[in-house]
Amino acid sequence: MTLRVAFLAMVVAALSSAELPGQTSGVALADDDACLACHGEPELLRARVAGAEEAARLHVRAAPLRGSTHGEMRCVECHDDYQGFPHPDAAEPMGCGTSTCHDADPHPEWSESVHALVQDSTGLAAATCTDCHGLHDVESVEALRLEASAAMVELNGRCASCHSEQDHPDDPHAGTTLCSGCHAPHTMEVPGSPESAVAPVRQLETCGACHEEVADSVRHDVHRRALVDAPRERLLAWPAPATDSLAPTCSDCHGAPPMAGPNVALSGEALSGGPRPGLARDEGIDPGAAFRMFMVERCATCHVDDADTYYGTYHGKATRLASGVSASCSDCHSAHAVLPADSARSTLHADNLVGTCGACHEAARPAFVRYDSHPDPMDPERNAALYWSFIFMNTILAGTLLVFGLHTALWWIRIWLDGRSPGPPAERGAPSSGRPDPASPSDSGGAGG
Amino acid sequence: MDSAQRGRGPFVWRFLLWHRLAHGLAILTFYTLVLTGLPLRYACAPFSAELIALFGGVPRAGLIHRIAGGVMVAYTLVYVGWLMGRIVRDRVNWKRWLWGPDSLVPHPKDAVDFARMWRYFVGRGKKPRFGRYSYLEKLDFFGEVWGFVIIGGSGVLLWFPELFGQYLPGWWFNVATVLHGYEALLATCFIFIVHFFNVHVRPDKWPLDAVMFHGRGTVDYLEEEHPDMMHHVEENLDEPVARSPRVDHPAPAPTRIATVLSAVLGFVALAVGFVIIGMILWAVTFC
Repeated sequence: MTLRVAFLAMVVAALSSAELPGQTSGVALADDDACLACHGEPELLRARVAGAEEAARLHVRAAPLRGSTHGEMRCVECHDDYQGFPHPDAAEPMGCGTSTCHDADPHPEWSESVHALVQDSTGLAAATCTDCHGLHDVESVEALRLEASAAMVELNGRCASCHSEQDHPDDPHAGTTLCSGCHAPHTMEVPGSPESAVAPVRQLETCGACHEEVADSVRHDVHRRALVDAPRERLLAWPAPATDSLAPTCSDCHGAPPMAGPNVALSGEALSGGPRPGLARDEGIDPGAAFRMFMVERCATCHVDDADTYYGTYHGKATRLASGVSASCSDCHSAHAVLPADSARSTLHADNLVGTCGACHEAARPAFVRYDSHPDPMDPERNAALYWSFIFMNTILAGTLLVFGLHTALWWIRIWLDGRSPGPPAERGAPSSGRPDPASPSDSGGAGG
Repeated sequence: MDSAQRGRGPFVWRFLLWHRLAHGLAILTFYTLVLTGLPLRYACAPFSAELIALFGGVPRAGLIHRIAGGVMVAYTLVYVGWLMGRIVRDRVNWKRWLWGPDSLVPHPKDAVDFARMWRYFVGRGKKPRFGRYSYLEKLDFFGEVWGFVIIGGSGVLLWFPELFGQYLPGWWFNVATVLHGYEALLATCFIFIVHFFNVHVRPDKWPLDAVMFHGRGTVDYLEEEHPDMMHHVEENLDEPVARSPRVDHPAPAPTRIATVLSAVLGFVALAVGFVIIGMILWAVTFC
């Protein structure tokens, strides 16, 4: 090996010092072996260029290249500015799309993508062909599309090298779904663009491709209907309107990656944007319960009053304290088929209510389900008995505390005033004992003189 | 430190063992109920999640709450049974029991005393002479009776919603929730503010009155707090200290251990009570 390196070094030295008339571009390199004579030898590169990093960058492994879908191609077919030696100082970076090969293929789509937009507008390095497809170990399209393959994990890892926050081992899609399965490859629209595969209007289609049952039940959901019925100009508005002005879709509840669901323990933090005080100890609670618990906060972003009245009930209070068993929004309203109570399909319809409550309260009967899950004790129209109980209890609470608060305060002041007044302690007017008053601290409570 | 031991002796029994045990059980159950119930009522307060986690989460805290409630119902029923037994079997003079000067039942004199207290507060009269039980003690007792009926009734209803939901419309549970929560808040505030002030931290008594813990007080103490019952005490003062404690009869001075234990129990209870009042104020401000 050492001998071979020494030999090659001599060859390179000879080549670079050669001054052949009429050949300004140096020696022509015809085949890959000539390229690999240098670029295939890390030790040689280290000896020739400054810095180990630069040497590593210039190093090319022959085996992955030969095994890639470009295995039959010659180096100079891509590196067309490097046909001679010595190489030019500053060559144009080669482009896959501008070359003759992928001319009409994905390039026009990529140039409209968010990656191209970021690169053009900020000059920051965003993902180009090689960042996803690999530099020399370019995968075939067929290999990339194999689900749960090593290639898929590798490919997702390439997205995650920039989008590291989205790469979470607990995400239910981790290891099973390609990033590009939801975020259409190449087109990859700007987030919020209505043309994006994950735009609110298109999520049912994109997520529903795998989650067929959910997609099926959600078709009747009021949220879905509201989204479909929303004026088109609002859906296509750019920049995208704030989420609270539109009905929620998949990602509004399940989040963007890392995504949360009833089986995902990370839901709490992912949905609330951080751990909540006091809940750190509740790691033991069932992930489904955690998900539903934080879901109340999500629903509450729009349904403010309903969340308020819910939090006034045992269900709401226990859920707030991570009960894990107490009903939250989706337990009664369902998760994906939310419908008004007058709809026959609704979980809240009079005919279905016993079954809905009965999911937890097994012995629920028609009388039982007249419980008000969103009570408003201030509203006599809604329930007069509740209203008057509320008024009565507040009256005796306020009345008792007022009278006896005053009683306490005045007594305090009286004792204090008596303690300050000069002269002997007040006579008790109690002839029963006939004892002289002993001078003791307990005397100061006597009547003032 | 203990106002029941102030001034001149001798000591006289005021409360017997069963009084003190009942009061001890009341403290134990009441504090447990408040500490497990408060975080649910103020689930939005910053301390609630921590407090409920201290009890091992909502289901566990709920179980502890129900056990404490069950114990409270049990000793109340035992007390009522004892009372019935006294009336029916022992044929106590129930007229005297109801209307006698030593009665715990509210009398017209209590209304008069209450009015006179306000005159005394504003410096226009003497402090009324209280009997064995002043209107404040009667209020403590019947406040608990009232609270027991309201909180206990609604609590049992909420404990078995499916059972009662077979017959009662579900909105009864909405009403029960309001009754339970507000009456509990009233009881907590009354005990930890009014009762604590009247009995313990009143400037002329503070910091503690442990008569309910060790059961006895000096003649001076009784004269100060209950002058109108002293004739019962005077009659027995010349008797020797009896072996078994009898109310209004001479008692041995509390032992050092009894004094220390009473003080520790009393101060811990006072401190926790005031912390709970602070938590309620915090919760009311926060929620």
